[in-house]
Parts: sequence; structure tokens; C-alpha cells
Amino acid sequence: MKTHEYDIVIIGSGAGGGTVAKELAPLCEKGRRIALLEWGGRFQKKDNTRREIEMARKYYFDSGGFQTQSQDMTLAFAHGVGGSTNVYTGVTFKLPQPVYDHWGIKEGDYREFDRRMEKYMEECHVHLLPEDQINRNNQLFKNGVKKLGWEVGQFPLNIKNCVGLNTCNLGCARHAKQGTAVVQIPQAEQAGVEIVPFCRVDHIAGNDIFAKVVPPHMGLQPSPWEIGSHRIRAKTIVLAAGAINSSAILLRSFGSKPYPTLGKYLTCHPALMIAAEQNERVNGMQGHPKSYYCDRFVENERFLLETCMYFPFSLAKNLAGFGREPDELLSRYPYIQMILTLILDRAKRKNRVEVDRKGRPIVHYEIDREIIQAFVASVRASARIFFAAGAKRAHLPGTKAFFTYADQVDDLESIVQEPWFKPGKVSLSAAHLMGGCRMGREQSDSVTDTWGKLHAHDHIFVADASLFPTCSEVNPYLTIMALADRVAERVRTQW
Amino acid sequence: MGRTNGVGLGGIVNGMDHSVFLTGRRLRRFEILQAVLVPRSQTLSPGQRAKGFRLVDDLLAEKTKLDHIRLNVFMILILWSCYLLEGRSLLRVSEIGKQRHLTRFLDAQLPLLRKGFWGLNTLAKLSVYGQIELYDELGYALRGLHENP
Repeated sequence: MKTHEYDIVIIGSGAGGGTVAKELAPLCEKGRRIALLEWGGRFQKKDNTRREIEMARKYYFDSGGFQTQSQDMTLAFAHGVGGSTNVYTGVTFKLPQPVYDHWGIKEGDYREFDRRMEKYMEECHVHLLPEDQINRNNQLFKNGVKKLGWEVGQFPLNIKNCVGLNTCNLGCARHAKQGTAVVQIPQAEQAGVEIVPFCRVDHIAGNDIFAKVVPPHMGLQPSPWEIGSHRIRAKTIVLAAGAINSSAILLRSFGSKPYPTLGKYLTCHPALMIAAEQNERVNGMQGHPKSYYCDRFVENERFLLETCMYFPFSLAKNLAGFGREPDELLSRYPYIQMILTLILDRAKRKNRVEVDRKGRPIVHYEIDREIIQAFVASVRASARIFFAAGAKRAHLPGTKAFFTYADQVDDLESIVQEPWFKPGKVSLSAAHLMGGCRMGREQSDSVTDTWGKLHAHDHIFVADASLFPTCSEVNPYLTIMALADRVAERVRTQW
Repeated sequence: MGRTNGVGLGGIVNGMDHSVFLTGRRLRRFEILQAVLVPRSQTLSPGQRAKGFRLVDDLLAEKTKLDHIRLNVFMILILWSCYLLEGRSLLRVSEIGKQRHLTRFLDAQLPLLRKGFWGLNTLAKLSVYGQIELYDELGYALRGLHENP
């Protein structure tokens, strides 16, 4: 086993780890040694081929097919230098103040947290896309929402030189998204942080991290470290491997005894993709996929509606049915409009990450009645938007028939019903994984303090979405970066 | 779908080194079900069909032996229950009968049956819609890397 010594080791390089690496990088000038370990490979533009299945295998855990134990929801989470920021759409939302207040981060008010979010919005070139670059799929959403008299919001995006390739979720072939692989990690590397891809951490024991470096896959660059087992000694360890893997690493390291809530209170914004056929050509596969949202239902019915556009297999997989009708809808791709519904799920102890006998993460998550009711309401609202925008028919999960037609719009209450919305039949996925190492005041009900330090281990910090005590109610990367910024600030005090 | 066609493709797939699941009878069962789940599969060329099976096999290579056994048992369950409930094999039952039989699983009260069906249906869809060669036919036209917005 090869041994390495560092002052600080960061595990994971997504929105959290990449941010911490950049913020701590100036310490390298003072002679501190910092390493950033990443489970996956390092992607150049040419590696992002935009081929759906190939890219799913390159970026996503289990090729994008990781399922909950009950097998009724798929969890999409990515690896690779840059983590899930490689495969997001760049949608940038600030954490809403009520959520922040509920989290109870007392040290510093919302304005202080807001300043951190602003800092990264500037760093990541966040702006609104000009009207003339917004594609028809998005315009139709806006038209439909407005026609219903509802309010529509425009997503700020963190993109630069984007030409609207539309394959954001497969990695950007132009590196237009300003994720950590494009912005923060190169800065960290230039300042002296060592980047180690294909390095898979098993567990932590004291100040030692036990990891395995694996051969590169699918034509990616190999790790600079030799293939095999490694022990990495670090005075400070920052864990930022994402909600599933940060929880799993800590469970493999300490079990759940020191931290009764470790792995628990997982939230994930359960999501559903809904498609409709318009009378006009939409060509939603060209242009940035996400421009608008509707948050009218957030407070009372706990769901958010967003524009989206996915790829042929993803769409086919998400259609609840088989036979000629799905084939027929897929044949009409240029006419398809899509909406993504996100459920703002409550943090519940029963929803959790565990590890199996081999140490692999497993996820228990119950699609309970509250979630199904929110989904049903979100399908009805989406249908109203589709038809208000001129759709001739839509595929609505939670109905008896595969298609619902425009002239049925007044009967949506009876057409889309809870008993027909059956998990397993309806294809659900988790949009954003959060919680598992929740921050808080007491070790009895949280894993870390509000600065991300493990309650019972002074040299280990967490800096990713696993810190969230509840779901963020918005796309989370900016919140992760702001929290990681706080964690880095706290770590710096030790150095 | 004719038996000969299935055997022929089985030969192609069997000839691949990495085939982990779709061989022999398992491939034959999958082909019968694929034809009903994704009728477009019947319009694919032999090369495209073989590529589709390879996509499925590549995915299943990441799964455990137990997953393979479960999938095979599930396919057998669907095919044999067709004899019991429809009085004929899935190959010989009418189009309406095929729809009716598979809808029993899609819409089953028992979550286990729905989830098993979802898995199988997803693999069948992967074998067809996972192929970029079909993009033109679907009208899924990606913008060129250097095209102006």
C-alpha cells in the first residue's frame, strides 16, 4: 500500500469539494499540501460526446440506473472531476430565506449567507439568457403559464459561450457551463492543489484515508497515482462526496453509533418528466433546455414546475406505458414539449442511506401518500400549461389512458387520479440528493455543527448537500457552494 | 416476429465475447417481449437489433447474478402466465390480447410486478431508443458543436 501525507485532503470535487479546494488553495503558497480526491475521471471537451448511453456510463453512478431499495425511484448522481456540476443545467437559485431560517444557521444572518451566494454567482458568470436565445420549448411554457394567469420566473444560468447544444445533462461539449471543473478546480490546481481522479475512498480511520486508485475507463486520462491501494494521511479531511457517498464513507468509517442521524433525513426532490405533443414544431432539442419555472404551488402544494428537454432513451424510459403509443410519441420528437415537476419533499428520518455488508451504499426512500398527492397535483398543473400553450395531446402519468387530449382539459380532476399514480408504473427520479450528514446543534439530532465540522471528530468536515437539514426547495448547487465557502473559512482558522 | 430471425440474431449476440445475459433462451424470451413492448424494434436492421441487445447486455454486465436470475424469472412469468390467462403463447395471441396481458403487469396491484415490468420495459426501450442511429428517424436533431444559436 502506497502512503501519502498531506495537510488537507478533500474527498469529492463537485460544487462542495471544488469550492473548498479553490478557497483553501492560497494555503499552498504557505507550503501547505492539499489534495483533491475524485471517484471518477477528468473530462476534456472532446470526452463529452453527447451520446446519451455512452455519457450516462461515463458520468453517472450505475450508468444512471441507481435505484432505491424499493426500486420505485432512480437516483441520478455523477462522478468525475467537477462532480454533478458536470451534468447540471447551470440553473442558479439562491436558497430562499425561510429555508435558511429553518436550518438555524445562527452564526451570521441571511445577508451574510446571501453575500456568499452572490460571490459565486459572480464567479460563475450567472446571468439571464437573452430573450432571442430562448427556444420554443421554453417559450411555450411561458406562454401557457401566462395564459393561465400564473406567474412565471426565468432561471439565471451560469453559462458562457453557450450555443445551446441542449445536452447539459450529458456533460457540456463546449465547457460552457461554469461548473467547478471549469472555474474553481483549475484555479485550485494552479495554486498548487493536487487533483487525483479515479481515486475511490473506502473509509477514514483516525487521520488516515484508505482509498483505491482504479484504471481509467472509457478513454479518459488515467490518475497520476499508481493503480492500487493507497493510504493518505491528512491533518484535516473535508468530505464532499455528495449525499449518498459522504454518508456511506462515514458509515463505513464509524458506523452509525456516534451519530444516530448519520445517513438519515435524506431528501431528493422526487421528479417526474411530462411530455406533450404540440401542433407546431418545437425543436426543443436545440437551445438551452431550461429557462423558466413556475413556483405558484411551492407553498401549499409543495411542487415546482420547470422547463426541461431530455434525450430519446430518457424520454422513452419516463413514459408510463409500452407498445405503439410511446413509439408514436417518440416519432413526433420535433413537436414535443416537456415539463419537469419537482416535489419539495419533507425531511423524514425513515428516508436514509445505509451501507450493505460489502459497504456499498443503499438508499431507502418511501414514496408516501403526501408525495403522490403532490405529483398528481403537479401533473394536472402541467397539463393545464401544455394545453394553454396549444398542445393537442399529452402523456400524463396517473391516468388510465396513455394520451389525454386538449378537449379533456376541463376534466383533469377526474382524468388524473391518485389511485392510478402507482410507483413502479410511473417512472420517478430524484433530481437533487440532499441530507444524510445534516448540520445542527446537537450530536443527537445532527452529524455536523453549522460549520460542517463533525460533532465528535475535530479534524473532519463535510462540505456538500449532505449537510442540508431539509430539502433546499430550489436547485441546490449555489447553496452547496455558499455552505462550502463557510466550511473553508472554518478550516482556514486551523491553518 | 419469426423464430428464425430470433435464432439468427441470437447467433450474432452469442458470438460476442462480452454477452452476459442475452444468450440462448433468455435472448429468445427478450425478443418476444421486446416486439410487444417496443414495436419499433421490428423495423430495425439485424445490425441495429444486435447493437440494441449489446446495449442491454452492457448494462446488465454491471448488475449482479441475482439481478439476472430475477429478470429471467420475470420474463418466464410473463410468458407462461400468458398461456394460463390468454390461452395461447404471447407470440400467437391477438394484438389486443398482448396489450391486455402486459397491462396486467404494468398496472398490477402488487408493486413487485409493476417494478419488475418497469425494469423489463426499460431494457426493451434501451435496446431501441438507446441507439443514436435512430435520431434522424425520430427527428431528434442535435445542434452542431460550432453552430450559432
